[in-house]
Amino acid sequence: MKRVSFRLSMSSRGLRPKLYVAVSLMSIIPILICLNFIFPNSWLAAINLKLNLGLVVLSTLILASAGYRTIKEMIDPVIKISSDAKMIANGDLEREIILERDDEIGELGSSLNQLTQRIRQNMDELKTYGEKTKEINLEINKRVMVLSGLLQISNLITQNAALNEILEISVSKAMQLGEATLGILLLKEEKSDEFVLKSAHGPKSVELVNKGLTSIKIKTGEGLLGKLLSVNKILILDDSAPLPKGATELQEQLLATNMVIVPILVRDMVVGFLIIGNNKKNFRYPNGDADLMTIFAKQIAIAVENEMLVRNVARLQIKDVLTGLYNESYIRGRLDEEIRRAIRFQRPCAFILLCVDSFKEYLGSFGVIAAESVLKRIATALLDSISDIDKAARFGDDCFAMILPEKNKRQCMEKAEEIRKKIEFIFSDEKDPKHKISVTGAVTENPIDGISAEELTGKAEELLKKSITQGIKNTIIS
Amino acid sequence: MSPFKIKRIIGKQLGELLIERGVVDHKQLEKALVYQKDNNKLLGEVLVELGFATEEDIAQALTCQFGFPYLPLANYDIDAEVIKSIPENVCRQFCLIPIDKIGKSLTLAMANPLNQQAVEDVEMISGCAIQIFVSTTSDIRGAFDRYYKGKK
Repeated sequence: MKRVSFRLSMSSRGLRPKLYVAVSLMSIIPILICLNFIFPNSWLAAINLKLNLGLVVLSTLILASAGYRTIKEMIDPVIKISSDAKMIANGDLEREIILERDDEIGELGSSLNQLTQRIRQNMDELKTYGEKTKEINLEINKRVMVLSGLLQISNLITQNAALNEILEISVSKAMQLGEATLGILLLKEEKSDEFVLKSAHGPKSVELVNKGLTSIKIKTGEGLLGKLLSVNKILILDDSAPLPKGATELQEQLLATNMVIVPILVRDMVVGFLIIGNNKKNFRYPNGDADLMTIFAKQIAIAVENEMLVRNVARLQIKDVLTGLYNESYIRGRLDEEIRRAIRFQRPCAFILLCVDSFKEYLGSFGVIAAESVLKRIATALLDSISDIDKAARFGDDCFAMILPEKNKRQCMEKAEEIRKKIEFIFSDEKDPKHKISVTGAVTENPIDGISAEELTGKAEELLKKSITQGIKNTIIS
Repeated sequence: MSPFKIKRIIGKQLGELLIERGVVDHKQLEKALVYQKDNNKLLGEVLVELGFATEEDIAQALTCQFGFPYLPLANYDIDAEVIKSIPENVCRQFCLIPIDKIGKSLTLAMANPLNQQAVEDVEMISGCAIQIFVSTTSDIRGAFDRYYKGKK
């Protein structure tokens, strides 16, 4: 029965029976003294102890209570430690075990205290680690966003998207860096020192635009941006370093205290600046931001260069894709050349402008494919009619131009008439009168109508315009 | 049709004419032709420049061969109204100048009367029959300077 109750009891309670045992054990000595008093012949008489009964009982009681106290003092702190430890184990790490003792129990208490403190420290450390991990995760997240933005930009570049669209997206994505409230892109105008504001994002940029900033003049070596033109290095204005000379002016100009300014390089030339900024106090740009900004600037540079190349290719293109004839810009250039040659050799040079009559109506009724096929058939007819030194070109949407060097107006009129008849004949088989295509042509000649390509083409266009208002069709005029 | 067209049927180049007349020989002509290719100039100009012929030689060669009369323009006065009958552009480019106009007949001084297209153009612009006189390039340019004052 006793063993069962011992087992059922909590450990702290288990100490109490021990205390009772101790008390009863401590009682043995007074009992022995009492026995000695009752039976004086026993072995204690030998030490000749003679005491009266009252004293014996008193001393016994004193001893017993002293024993009880001693043991209680031993046990109580243990119970306290135990209950405290239980609370600590349940998570109350702030609890401290207070025992002002220098015996083993005191040591036990302080050891437990040290243990809890350790645990507390570790917990704190874990917490800060947790927070750091969270920050790092956020940072990684941000980087991933920025990188996906970069990917989006390169996709746009490969898809030949419009330059302005690419620039807008680049700036808005770059603004995800450095807690930016300002994101602007300045691009150099060709053959000037004017840098035009191509794109502006963020609340501060709105202020900038409202302030009337549309472009900034930047001269090499003048001002902070001017210096960047020659060294083409990334510039960071923040709390980490003292501001360079001229920074204050720029901060006032762009309404931002902290800035990252990246030059945009195309073929080793600075063609623009990508700038992000904010107005935070004691702000420092994180380490990787500058690198990412450089990548943004590179993407923008690629887009800008791409645009330049596309423009160059278009300029170099001399043929019209649909008809295979020369295109308008080429024929204009050639006409100028032929006129110069004609002047030099005292020769004439003629120009024919032929336009399809009522082409827009035809296009409206029969669609693009039919209209294009008409243009192709006329182009073939033109190529068949002209000589090796003559040149034929598509001119505008529904017109054709021809240069006839060495021909004067009469000869050119004859040629134009021949072509008009030919085209009329080609489409004469068509049953629907709407399909019967005809052309109206204007003939101009150097020197009679002018001594430059512009004069000849201009006069021809004027003549054709007049013929349209007068309702003239299927005719050659001069 | 202008009388000029009938004459043009003879169809001889200036170089041939000059050789026939003994003004230049084949060697000189070839040399002049090579020089002409390199310098983008008219044969007459080249021959004069290289010193193989004078402007008068060339003008007279044309005169004799085709029967065009030769007209030294230097001392010739032209009526301002006549000058206006042909646009300056045309005159300068084809190196010709109208000198007289009587009714429907216009008289031209030309450096190169073989320039059929130029004559046609002038015919078209003026609506007149054309009579041609031959003159030297420098005389005609001198006339430009005199009559087109204030311009290039």
